[in-house]
Amino acid sequence: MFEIFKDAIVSLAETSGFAGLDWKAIVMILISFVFMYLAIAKNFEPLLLLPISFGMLLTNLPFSGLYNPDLFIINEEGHIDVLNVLTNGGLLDLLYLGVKLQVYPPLIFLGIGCMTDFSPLIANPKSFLLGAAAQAGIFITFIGAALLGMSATEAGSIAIIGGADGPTAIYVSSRLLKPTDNINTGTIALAAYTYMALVPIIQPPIMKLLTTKKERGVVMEQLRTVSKTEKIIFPIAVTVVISLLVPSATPLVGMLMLGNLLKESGVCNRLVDTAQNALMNIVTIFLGVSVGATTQADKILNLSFAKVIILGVIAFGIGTAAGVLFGKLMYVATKGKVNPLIGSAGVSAVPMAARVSQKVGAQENPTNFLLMHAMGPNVAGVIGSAVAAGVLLSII
Amino acid sequence: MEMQMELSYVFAVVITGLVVVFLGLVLLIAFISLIGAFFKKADQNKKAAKSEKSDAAPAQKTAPAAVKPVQAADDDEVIAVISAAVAMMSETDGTVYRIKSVRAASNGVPARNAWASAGLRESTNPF
Repeated sequence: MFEIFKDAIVSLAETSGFAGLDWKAIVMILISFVFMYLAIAKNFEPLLLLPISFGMLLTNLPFSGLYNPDLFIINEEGHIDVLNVLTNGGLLDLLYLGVKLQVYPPLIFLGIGCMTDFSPLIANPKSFLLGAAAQAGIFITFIGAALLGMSATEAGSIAIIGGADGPTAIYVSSRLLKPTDNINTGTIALAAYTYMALVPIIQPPIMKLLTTKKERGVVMEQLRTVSKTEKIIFPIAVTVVISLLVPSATPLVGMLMLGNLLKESGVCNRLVDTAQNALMNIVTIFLGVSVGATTQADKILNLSFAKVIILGVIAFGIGTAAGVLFGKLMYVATKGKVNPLIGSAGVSAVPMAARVSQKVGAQENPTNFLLMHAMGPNVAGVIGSAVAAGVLLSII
Repeated sequence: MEMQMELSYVFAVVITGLVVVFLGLVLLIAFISLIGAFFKKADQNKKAAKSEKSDAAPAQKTAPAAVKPVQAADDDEVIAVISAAVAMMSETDGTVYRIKSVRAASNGVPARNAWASAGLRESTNPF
């Protein structure tokens, strides 16, 4: 009997997580604690970062079996064996299917569209140019990643971090990256959401460096009132134009504009309420925890993750700088009517980047109300980053 | 050679990406600006129509004023009659009366025409 008891204890010990705990798992668990602290105590994009960090914790606890990366290897036909995932997958494998099949990011964009007011952009369409300029951060980072020896798929996935759009970064990286790459979607998402939270820290020094006091003090004319009809035509027009130009951007741009049209029509309030609340919250939980589950030790504790971190901040910085520089160009072209600070809001971290423009402008002139002017480039950046994502997916 | 080919591919991706993003958003600028101009013009037309209506309203307000000259002509006759009556009183009393002003007894809009009032008084005098 004692032998049976002893064998049972030994068997339990061998199958317990303690037996599988190595230094890499311990480090990853500690990293997950750091990100949880940043999300909870420092309020770093908590809606995504907390589920991501907890997913990181779950996946790095030994023998949890919640996520199995081998199930997501592309087969000879170029697809994931979904039946295999459904049959043999754990909880997070099943939830991750929504990421791998590009379902979650467009649904999040649907909710974002319901919450976005495009009036500042419609009132001042030139803001689109600032939204386009800020996407230069994506493409210049692509060059940097290529020079560091990364593959096209890795470079494209890292570059999209410069768009400052979490769902877009997840969408592109889940389409481009293969299990054999040194980085994965979780790596990209972690970097993207961390840097989005750091926008108020990264942007102001760049904005002040590239502008003069006089430029920062420019007070812009009040925006015109936008009619309801214009607000209804806008999402339809954007969908048609962008989808015809870059069809691979259609899932993101189409769902963003669908959400906006539902809101602006005024006749689908129940759908709007669901899309921006229940649906978005459900998808956010599934997306966050399943993406977090992909952040296993072998994908994080390597040189490539360090490159992602460095290139990510470069992408953000270049995007901010490009937006501000284009804003300076518009300042000159309009003979001082455009405040260059709104150019930095072209990165699509809505509404944080617009708030940063307002704050830096107010430091120069406390009565200067730049927020609504900055919202134009900010929401244009969402469209711009989705177009840039479509271009990367088409070419790479 | 392979690195050069990779660099050319990289720059092709970058240039294509920037061009397509700018092109797409420029197309949107053109379309949205056109719609904006259309609605701005429609708004201006509405405002012009409103200001025409408000111009017509003052014109209607002056029309009652134009009626005043008709009343003024009646007033002149009334003043002439009053002057004749005062002159007759002067002859009777032997005192020279001078008319300093003539003012309507009501708020300027008589409920009844002066002649009608006079006729009514004459007709009802025996009672």
